[in-house]
Amino acid sequence: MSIIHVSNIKKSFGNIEVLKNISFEVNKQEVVAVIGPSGSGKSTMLRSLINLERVDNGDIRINGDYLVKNGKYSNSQDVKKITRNMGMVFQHFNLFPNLTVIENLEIAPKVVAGKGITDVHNKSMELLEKIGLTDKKDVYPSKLSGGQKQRVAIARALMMEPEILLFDEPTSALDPELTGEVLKVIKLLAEERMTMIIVTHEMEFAKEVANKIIFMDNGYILENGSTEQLFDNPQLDRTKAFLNKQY
Amino acid sequence: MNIDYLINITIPMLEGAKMTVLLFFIAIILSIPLGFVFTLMAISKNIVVASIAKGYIYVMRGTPLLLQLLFLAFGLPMIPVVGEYIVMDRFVAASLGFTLNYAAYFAEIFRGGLLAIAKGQYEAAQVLGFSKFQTTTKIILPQMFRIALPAVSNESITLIKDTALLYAVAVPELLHFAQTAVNRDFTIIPFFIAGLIFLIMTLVLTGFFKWLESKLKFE
Repeated sequence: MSIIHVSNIKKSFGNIEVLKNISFEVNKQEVVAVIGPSGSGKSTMLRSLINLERVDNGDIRINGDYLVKNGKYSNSQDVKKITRNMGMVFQHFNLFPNLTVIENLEIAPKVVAGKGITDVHNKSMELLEKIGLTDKKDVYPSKLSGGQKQRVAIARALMMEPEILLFDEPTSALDPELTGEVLKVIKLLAEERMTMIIVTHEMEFAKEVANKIIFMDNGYILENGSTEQLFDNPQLDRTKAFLNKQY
Repeated sequence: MNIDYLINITIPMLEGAKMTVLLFFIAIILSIPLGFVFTLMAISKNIVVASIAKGYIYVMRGTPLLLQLLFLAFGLPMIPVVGEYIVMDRFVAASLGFTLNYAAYFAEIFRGGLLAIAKGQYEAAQVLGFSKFQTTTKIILPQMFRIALPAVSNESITLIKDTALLYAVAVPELLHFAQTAVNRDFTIIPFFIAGLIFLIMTLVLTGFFKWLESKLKFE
């Protein structure tokens, strides 16, 4: 059953068209990796799903509800409700520097969702254990390494219990030796059948963790298929050229 | 020169310093929130609102504080017809003048603080479902204030010294009593004592902000 349904979305920044008729679907419990060269529109596409960018045209449906229909957005109340189903992990973490690790985790469920302190605390401790940062719970983000920050950012997103997690190049800002610890956490989530869309340049990781690959170039989705098919038997020369350059 | 004399001239000066401290607290407590209101106005998308705030900041920063104080204390009552109804106590006029003037500076300081906050902070708050108000109070303000703190500290020290302008609107304060003693006794000792009292006040202030900065280090 498709949980994300995107059809014919278009988006321009000024005169530059960055998304040109993008359509795809994501099913529940699927892990989709979005790959492609820089500037191909991957991040803009991902950000559109959670209303960080506004598309000019097309439909986006999340869980059956229209975020945008024919380029027309639902009212802000509905938009908020629909995007609440999703969590997002950013390239540059975007942790709140004025809050400790555990405060970063707990602020949204407490302030936004109005959940009880005990429940929230149990959940945050459980997630800290999962990402292996229980001992860092009272430090500020400035004291963490990049990999630790990104693991906290993932836990922070999970605190709101989203059905779908979006990752915008989660390892691109990390030193190479720190990417492993972040990818491990994402892999763990994949094993738990979390629905995820991951924009990434890590081809090996995409191959390992994703069941579906979307290859974007120049504002188009050029190929879209199962991981095996796309990596082992790409249909287009452009895809082959891109994959060859990556290895 | 004896201890009794020193005590005798210092006591009225300390009385005068009370005015200084009182004015400082009134001005700082009122001008910081007022300044933040002007910050929000200045960054508003509404051109009229933004222009009002920018015009205000320009006038307040572009004219001498002394002129503004003289205008409030002695100028307003001279306005035909309405003037006689807006005669203020000179200390009240001075407090108003300091508040209005410092609000403009704080507005610019806070605007700088806001500009320094990364766009990603707003995005992270948005995707977590924060309302605009929650984002501002929980995420943006604490960071803005932290970034602005050194400049706020600097401005506060300037304010303490600017209170000497009370002298010009004839509110008896520290310098007034120092000057009186100098003229009466033909000695410059009172000036040194006045300087010392200011140094003590700025020292306390510097210490306070140093403590506050370490408290809000986020480390």
